Amino acid sequence: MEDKYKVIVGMEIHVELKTSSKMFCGCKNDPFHAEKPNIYTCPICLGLPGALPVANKKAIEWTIKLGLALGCKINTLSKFDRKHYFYPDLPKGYQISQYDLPFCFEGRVQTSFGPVGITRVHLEEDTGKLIHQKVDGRDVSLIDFNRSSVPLVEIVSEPEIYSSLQAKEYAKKLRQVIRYLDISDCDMEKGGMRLEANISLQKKGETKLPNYKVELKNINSFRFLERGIEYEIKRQKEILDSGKTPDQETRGFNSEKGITYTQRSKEEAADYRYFPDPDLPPIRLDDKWMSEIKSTEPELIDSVFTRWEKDYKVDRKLTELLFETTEESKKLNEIFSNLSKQKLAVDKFVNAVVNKKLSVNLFTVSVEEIATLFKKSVAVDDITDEQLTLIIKKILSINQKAVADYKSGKTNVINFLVGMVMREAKKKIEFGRMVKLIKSSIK
Amino acid sequence: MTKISKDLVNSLSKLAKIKLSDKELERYAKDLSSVVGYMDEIKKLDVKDIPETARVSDEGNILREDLVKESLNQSQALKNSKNTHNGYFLVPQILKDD
Amino acid sequence: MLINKSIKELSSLLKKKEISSVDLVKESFDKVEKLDSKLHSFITLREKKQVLKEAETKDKLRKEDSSIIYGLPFSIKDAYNSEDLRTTAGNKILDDYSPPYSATVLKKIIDSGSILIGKNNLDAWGHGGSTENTDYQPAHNPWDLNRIPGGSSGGSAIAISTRMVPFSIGEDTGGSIRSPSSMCNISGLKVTYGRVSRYGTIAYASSLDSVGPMAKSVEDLSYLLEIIAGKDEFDSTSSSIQVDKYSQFLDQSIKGKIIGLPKEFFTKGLDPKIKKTILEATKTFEKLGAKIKEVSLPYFAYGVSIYYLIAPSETSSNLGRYDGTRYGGERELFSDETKRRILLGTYALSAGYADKLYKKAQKLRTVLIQEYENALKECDVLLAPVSPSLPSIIGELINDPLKNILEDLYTVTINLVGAPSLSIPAGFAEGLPVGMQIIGKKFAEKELLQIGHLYQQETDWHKRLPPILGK
Repeated sequence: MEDKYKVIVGMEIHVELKTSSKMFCGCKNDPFHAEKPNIYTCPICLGLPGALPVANKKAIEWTIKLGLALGCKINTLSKFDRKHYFYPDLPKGYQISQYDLPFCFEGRVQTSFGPVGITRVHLEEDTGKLIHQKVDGRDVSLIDFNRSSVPLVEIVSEPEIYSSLQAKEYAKKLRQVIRYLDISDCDMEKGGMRLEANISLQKKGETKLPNYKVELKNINSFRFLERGIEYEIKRQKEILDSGKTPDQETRGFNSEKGITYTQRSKEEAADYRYFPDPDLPPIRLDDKWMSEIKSTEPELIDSVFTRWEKDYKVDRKLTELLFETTEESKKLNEIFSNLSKQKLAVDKFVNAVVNKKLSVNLFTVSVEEIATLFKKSVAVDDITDEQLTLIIKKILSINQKAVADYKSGKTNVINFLVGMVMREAKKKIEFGRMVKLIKSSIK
Repeated sequence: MTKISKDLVNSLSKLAKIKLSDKELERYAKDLSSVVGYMDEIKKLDVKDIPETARVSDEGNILREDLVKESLNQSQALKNSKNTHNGYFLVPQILKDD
Repeated sequence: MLINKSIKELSSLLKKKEISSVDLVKESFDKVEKLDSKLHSFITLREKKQVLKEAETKDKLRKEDSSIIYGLPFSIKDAYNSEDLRTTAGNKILDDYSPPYSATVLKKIIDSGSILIGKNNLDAWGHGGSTENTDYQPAHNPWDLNRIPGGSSGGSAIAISTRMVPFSIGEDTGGSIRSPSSMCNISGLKVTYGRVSRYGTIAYASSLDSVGPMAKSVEDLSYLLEIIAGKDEFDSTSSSIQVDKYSQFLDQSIKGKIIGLPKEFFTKGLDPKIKKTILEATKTFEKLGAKIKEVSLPYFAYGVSIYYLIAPSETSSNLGRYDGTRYGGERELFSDETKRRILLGTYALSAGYADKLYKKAQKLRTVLIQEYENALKECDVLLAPVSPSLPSIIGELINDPLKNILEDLYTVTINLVGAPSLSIPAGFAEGLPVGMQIIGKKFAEKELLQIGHLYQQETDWHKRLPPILGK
């Protein structure tokens, strides 16, 4: 397969921002936890006659922050456009979105497979939620507008993802950056983060992009993303091998069967009739506002990891398990710095926390207390080899049978001996070290 | 002169989600043709380098602080609908076309 | 006839307790009951008993510093959301729509203490200039029952013309306040775009819609504008420019002011009787010390084409929400005229046509703005007719789509540039009212009202009552 075709994937990811209020009105932004349907609505997000939108400043600022964290350029003059189509969950018959002047454009995300370009990051409003059900024997759709007009950020990548693994890593990386900025919970099960992949295969040697692409939608986990893309690659390869071109279409992923299936049978290019929304004035990101936003922009997450690797010799693969948000990273920074000043091994600390040897809530407990707890856990090993060997020799001498058992092959008798030594020493000593010393004493 | 065909009116009516009878399609094709034909007068006007005016208010950056305001209650939200069910709006199911 | 008195006078009499709000409301309902079956000014009337009770309360609670419109009856075009009171926009789709909220402008008037009598007839969604495109009976001109009252705010104009109410709130997107004001012999103000909040106004064309007062005189308009103008947090396009105390500047002299007459509006398309009436009016302005000058705005001649690409585009978008799920009936209930506009707008915005149509129109709009700004460098205001013809016979226009829209030639360009325009009575021709519009720089309502008020001190066209009142 690798010889004949090159996999080309572009991703579109939608993320719900966790502002307190909705994008164009003051209704509460909490659709997932609403006790009842249609309780967080108003004339604006219900699309009642005569209602008008007013844009949420924080949602705009968070979009800019995300763009900056993804290395994007910012359009200092931006606007909202109307995107027209009919669907029961779209109350106005159009979605307020962004067309040709998105807030952010031309960014980049690094993956272990190489960089992936970000075409654009724009802001729009979410739709209501449709539930398909049978009521009185009829097939109906029930609509809940609690989610209508929640701020939604759309991140579009260039078609520069070349494998299912890279797609997964890209999506995970985005989630990490977004969680780091603390602008969304990215909970895929709640629809807080939605993945879409455009997949096609390019014949090796071709320089032009393939003349078709298949859109894979409704993927709600990273694993399904990977499997869905893998399945698609196989499916498309078969079609191409037979001399045909795969249909340009939208497909869903059936996680139970592990296959993709057609969702929209006929792919007509939709005519959204975009035009600038006359109800919303343009947004001018002047120098003053931009510098305000930039001043709250945290250190880039990649540079945090790099710095920690350099200063504290801590592996990124471990540290990224310890935190999500900027606030949390700042606390970690303080902890690492404190430990380092006390000449304690930060890498050992990280290991201990990751392996649950050291059980402490890094974000509610004070730095001093954490350092003390760590010192204690390390301190149980503050006995020299010579002192320990003396104790070991004593234990061995009064447990001749155990020594004989060990020599004859019953190696797990070592645990018994370790326990005896620890009781005698009245300290907790690192297991590996004990075993090493006992073994050498037996010899 | 620009003319609007019945076929074009038909596609437009689908985009606009308004069902039209055959008679209506014919009538509107004629009506729209006369209006659009009149508008041909702007064809000859050269506006290549002129920017578009999308709105006439000058102010920019009219934004809202992220504060929660009172919503309508559920019965207010639903009161004008002819089809509701357990607090939801209800529509016949769209065919499994997404 | 109490309601024939000015707002200022009524307010004074009410405060002196020489008359009561109950008196006014009674007179209002009497008039409606007597005349409206012939005129169809109203779509919805509030329940008389309830309104009288409200009037009683106003009479009890009135204070010395109550608003000048406190306790006055009024009506409003049925394009404004009125909480818990049926709002139809003139079309059966919303026949049973009961809004859960009120438009900002309605709230402001009610908060000032005025008493709502009912919702006025209109061309549905603002689509029309004759109040014939309505599902609630075409409205009739009180000056000649066979003729149109103008539109789309026809119902409001009728109510004031026949003194059913002292004032009403209309809405102007392409002439909808000015046209019926002109045809019914009353005064109406199309404000600068953004001067008054649009929140709660059922949208026709979002970049053109202007909320405005209609009344018997310019003086009355000035009080109303003070109350309804101003920034609204619910309308991102409402202006934060300071609201003047318009009523206090009315008597300022207009000596030396230059009034421009746009050449393109006085050509052969204009009924010679109307032209004569307006040129006659210029003599009054000259008497008041103003100078008349001819100006040229060549692209204004393309106004109808530009407007009828932009307005239908925006309306096709704004009417997309009427899908029958959350409120209202099915889309097939739209009238022919509305369907035409939706189709035209969809056409102008659709892929493949948008560049030549919608986008080109928006570029031409830029040219119009330039021409208008240049003209208002040479002049203080412009003076123009409102309609190219006298009020037509009912049925003539609605069945000829092209002729219908050509009636809007003098008014639509003003909405495209966002300028304010005051329409006041200028005389009569063949017994029918002829209005004229005074167009100003943006946010120059103060100046327009001055000019209009001084004209009304010199003339009495605006005091004349329609024959249907039998006087």
